[in-house]
Amino acid sequence: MKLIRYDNFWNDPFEDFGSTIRQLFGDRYYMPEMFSNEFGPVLQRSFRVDTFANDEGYRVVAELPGIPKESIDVKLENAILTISGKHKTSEGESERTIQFSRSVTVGDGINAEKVEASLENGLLTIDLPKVEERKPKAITVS
Amino acid sequence: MSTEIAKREEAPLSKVRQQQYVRPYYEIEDLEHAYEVRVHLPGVSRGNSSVTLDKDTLIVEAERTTHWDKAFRPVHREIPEADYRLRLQLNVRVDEKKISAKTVDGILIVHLPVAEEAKPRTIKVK
Repeated sequence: MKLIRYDNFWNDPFEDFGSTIRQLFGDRYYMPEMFSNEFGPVLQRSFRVDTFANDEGYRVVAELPGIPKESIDVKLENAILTISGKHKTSEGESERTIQFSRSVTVGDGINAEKVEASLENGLLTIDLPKVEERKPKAITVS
Repeated sequence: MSTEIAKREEAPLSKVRQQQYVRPYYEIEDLEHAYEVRVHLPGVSRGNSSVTLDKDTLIVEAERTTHWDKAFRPVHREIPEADYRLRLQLNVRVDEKKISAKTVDGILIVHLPVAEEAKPRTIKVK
């Protein structure tokens, strides 16, 4: 029996879309990556990302609830910050893997040595300070 | 003839901010004699969420504790600032005394045991 009587809002409008396609056209035309919301062994998850900036550097905040920090991979390469990872969960008897990846262009001039990342309450915060030469400087006219 | 324009009492704008909510993403798992509702609440610290069962409606409310740091200016925003609210109409009678909830890594896990009278029963044919 279903726990919820009916859902008065679309929690996930494409939840059953994959199975509808499969019913109509069979497995031949079904591409799992097209409808990644379908419950399956590998789940591609998308997540929301905020980007902030000030004179000192950048801050990137990503929503990753339920993902432990060991499963998160943060990489900075050619001014592109990539947050990716793979997390295996077991629900009762079924096992599934959640995969996620997103890239954000943060601009160059970042002091890669001082990049810091922290995970709290499902929010990943990455601080990317600028290198000293790129920080704005006030020049006094003599 | 009076040229004076009648002064109108300016009503002060209501300072009460309209409360806005977002509906969080949730998953339901069917366990043996229980259900587990997992509500994704990123940005909510432990103790800032509440679970209420009103007759057959399960209400989850959570207050966002992590806000935009004003020392930064936003470049691109996707994460809403609003608090979370989820209302689910249950189809199954649950044992309200045994409901438990915990928060793990930004996910609120609500354990809903099925009420005794709603459990399947086998009737012996005499």
